[in-house]
Amino acid sequence: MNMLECTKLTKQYGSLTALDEMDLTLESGKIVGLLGPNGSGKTTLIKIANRLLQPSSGELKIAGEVPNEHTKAIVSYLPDRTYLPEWMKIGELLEFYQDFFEDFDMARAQELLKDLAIPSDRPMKKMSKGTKDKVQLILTMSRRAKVYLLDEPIAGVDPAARDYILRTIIANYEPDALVLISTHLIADVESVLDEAVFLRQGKVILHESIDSIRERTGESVDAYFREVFAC
Amino acid sequence: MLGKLIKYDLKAGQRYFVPTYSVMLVLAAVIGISSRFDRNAAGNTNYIFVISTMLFGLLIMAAVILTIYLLVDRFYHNLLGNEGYLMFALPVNTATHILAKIITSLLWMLLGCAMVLLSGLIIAALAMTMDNWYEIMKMIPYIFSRYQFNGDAFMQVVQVLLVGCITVVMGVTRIYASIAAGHLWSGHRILGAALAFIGLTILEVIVATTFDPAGFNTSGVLPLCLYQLVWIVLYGIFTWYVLDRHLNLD
Repeated sequence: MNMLECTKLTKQYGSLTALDEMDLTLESGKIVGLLGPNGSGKTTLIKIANRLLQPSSGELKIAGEVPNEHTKAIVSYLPDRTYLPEWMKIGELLEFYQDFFEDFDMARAQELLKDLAIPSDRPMKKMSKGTKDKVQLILTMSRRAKVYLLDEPIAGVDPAARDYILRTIIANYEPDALVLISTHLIADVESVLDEAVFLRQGKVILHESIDSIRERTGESVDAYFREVFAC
Repeated sequence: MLGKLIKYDLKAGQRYFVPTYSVMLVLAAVIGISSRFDRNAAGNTNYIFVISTMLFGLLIMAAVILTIYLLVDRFYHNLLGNEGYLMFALPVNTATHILAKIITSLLWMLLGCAMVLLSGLIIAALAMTMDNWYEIMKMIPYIFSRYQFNGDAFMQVVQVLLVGCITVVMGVTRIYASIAAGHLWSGHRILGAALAFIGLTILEVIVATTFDPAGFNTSGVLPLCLYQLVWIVLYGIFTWYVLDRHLNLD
């Protein structure tokens, strides 16, 4: 089933074109890497999918609908920044997610937090940046969503934390869901991807399965990416 | 969803309002009790009474500033700051977000009024001697004989409350529309919001003087409420338009 469909999707910021008549179709049950250098349009695409931005022209549909409150109920989104209220305690955040998202699995979230030994009465502001990132990931992956949009989940974290984040994603996503991971750190995510989408200046220049890329080029996706985007 | 949004907005404010109003009620009790000693200690300045009264006045001002600060801050940071990435990812439409913020702001204003009123009652109750109580008890039958507490009096109280609430909501929506206007700027958004607020305030004055030289205050409660409702709807639609169609979080 087509979970995310872009048709001539364009976004302009003044004279700058972030997305340029992009056509892209992603199916459920796949882990897709949205790969491209900084400024290639990855975050803009994910923001439009969450209705945090409106396209200048063209359209993006999630499960057949333009982003709205119904699609938000099935999309689990991890932004590329710290976004949880600093004053809230972990326990209050769990309650918040349970209140607003019907697909939130409280038991799963509690289990993951227990693994990290994070007490539920500690407010966000008392945590390190690394712990906040992990809490955000746990909340995002504890939803039984149809679409997971993960914007740069491993950027700016140490290698051990990267492993934890990828393990958590793989162990917790719903098998019939679409998982879209945006990143420019290809080597780290390559092993978990089914498909790769290469973005350059707001256009899709490649959409292919990982196996097919390896077979066709005889290289890893990381090596091929470096070749395609060589400066 | 509206109720849930209001619940978390109230929780966010609770951290500030519970200590503020707790201190206010304690100070009211101190004023009430110390005022009794003021009467007895002839010639000596009652420092406890003077200082607690000054602090009480300052606290009321602080509570007013805190309320206005929070209603601005909760809108600006919770919806248009980093927290906006969470709030706008919730399965809630934009109008519900705005409505929740307006209702929460109104509840905070009403809470402030209720706390000042309660403080006044505490001061009065503790300050009065048995003689004062006796005098008041004697006056009650007189008041009842003088004024008819019928449906009209009740309606007047309702009207005052209604006009008060609508005026507050109009002020709140003007602030939200100003912040939304500032959001249309790519940078210096706070400056944009401040300029928009000044501009909208001037616009309101121009409209009021152009179309209603006599002032709606003189023409009764209903026209005044309708006039203010028109502004609220216009401000609400503009805020919705910006947040729904031109949202661009940093």
